[in-house]
Amino acid sequence: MSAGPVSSWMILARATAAALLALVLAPLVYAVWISFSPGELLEPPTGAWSLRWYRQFFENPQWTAALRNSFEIAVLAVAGALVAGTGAALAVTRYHFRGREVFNLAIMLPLFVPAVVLGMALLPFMRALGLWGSTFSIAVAHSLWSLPVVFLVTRSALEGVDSDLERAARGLGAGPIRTFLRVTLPLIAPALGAGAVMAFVLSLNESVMALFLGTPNTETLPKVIWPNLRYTLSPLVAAASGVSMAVTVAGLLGISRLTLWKRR
Amino acid sequence: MAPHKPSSPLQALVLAAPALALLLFFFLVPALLLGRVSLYEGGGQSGFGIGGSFYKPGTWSLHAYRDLLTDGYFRSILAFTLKFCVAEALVTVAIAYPMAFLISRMPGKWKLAAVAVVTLPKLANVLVVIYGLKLLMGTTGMVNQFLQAFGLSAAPVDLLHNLTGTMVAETYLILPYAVLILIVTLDRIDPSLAQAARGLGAGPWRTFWRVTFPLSMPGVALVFFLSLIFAFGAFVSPHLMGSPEELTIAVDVQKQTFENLNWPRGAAEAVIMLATLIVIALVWQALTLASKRARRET
Repeated sequence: MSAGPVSSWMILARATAAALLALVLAPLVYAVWISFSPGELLEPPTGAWSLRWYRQFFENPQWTAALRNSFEIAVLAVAGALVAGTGAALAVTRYHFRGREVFNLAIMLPLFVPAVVLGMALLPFMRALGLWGSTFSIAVAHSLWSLPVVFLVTRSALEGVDSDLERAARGLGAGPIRTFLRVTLPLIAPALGAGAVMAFVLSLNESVMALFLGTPNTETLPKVIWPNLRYTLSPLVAAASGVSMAVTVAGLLGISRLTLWKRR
Repeated sequence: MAPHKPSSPLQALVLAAPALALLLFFFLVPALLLGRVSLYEGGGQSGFGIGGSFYKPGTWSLHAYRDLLTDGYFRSILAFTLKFCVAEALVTVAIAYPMAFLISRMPGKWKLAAVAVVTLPKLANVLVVIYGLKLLMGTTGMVNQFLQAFGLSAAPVDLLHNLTGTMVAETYLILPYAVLILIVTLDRIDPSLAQAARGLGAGPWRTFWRVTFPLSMPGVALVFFLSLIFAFGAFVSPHLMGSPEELTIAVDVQKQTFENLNWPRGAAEAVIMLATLIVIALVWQALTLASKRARRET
């Protein structure tokens, strides 16, 4: 094998990979770029950049209320997914019990059920409970949605914890709760952090269940964006895109910090 | 793994309780209730559900299903959804495979960055992806400017509110899963096998088609089935990027529920979706078992 053709193949391969990755990012980057447009038209800003659409976004009560609702729901959803996911991961990795395999699989199910089916199933249920349109109903749906993610991340962290450490703590007289809090928890904290951030971002950006379960009083950011995408392409959507991307990217950077910290 | 596992069912139950509650109370019970709602008589047509008449409480009827089965409209939706998800799964595999292959061959740091780029659209707001695509693919958007600048088309091409727009958007939404799974698949293949093939005189193409590709088949099959499942439930892209021609069942569930206020019909369609997904999962299960058995016999 000669060096010449191989390296030109390599250049072609790298260029193709770069082009494909650029295509993947294009819609996200373009939406955010256009949000800084100074004009009335949806043109990408070339010379002057402006924050006028962001100002309008934050001055508009419908959009700010939606942002607040989204954050509230995301915090509740994270709490639910974290408690349920961590507990389940501990039960599966630290205990033998009947039906463990079934439980392991059942937790993954929400990943494979279409959001519309989940929304359609939860709608009459929440209505019967008198919870249709409550922040709680959307948060529960989102908890269910991110449960598999938190569970997977925590389970793999728990499998990586040296069980000798836990046994040593127990041998030295610490109870199970104290062992968990003083030994296991600090070791899996980065994974819990990463899971929590993922759950937060997933909830913040989820649109279908929010569409089914939200009412005018509990509109989330995606629910307010939705009609704007069907009929008009308002530049306020661009600002909303910018806000949601800012939170998402900040979250991802947080996760990468957490996982690097773990490696050190 | 953990060599000693205490079998204290009570402690395990306490730990698993929140997840169990979530799964039973907010997943299983609503799914059963979905079946019940699909068996009510529709109570629609009476003023936007003000009297709570999304269905007639206390009734049992197969009305919704009978309507669906005799209705040409629903049959055409079902047919489109099935064709759409097969096409979408094929397109996704065709795009994701070369992408995953190129990424899996990247040096360490670049590979991490590429994986982050691929994951971002999945974690980002789906609607931002759609918004960006709508801006780029509009009649005056960059894609059309590009096509015209290079003389590929004289007049602007309609890329939105048709099958093209829907397929492009859905591919963007499914691609991250597909690429990530295929990267893991390709990384797990022992590199010494390809080296051995090269050492025995096979060229790069032959090595790929005779060694690497067959070894990655399980991953390809998994990606195909997952894409099938995700595209079967497609809602956002056909709703926002399609026309009434690109009506999937998921879109019609939302229409029946919120526009026609006919909850039994919406629920019946959701039940049919679930049943179809279960059939797909069973087919997948049977195929994996068969291929395992075949491998053991050879």
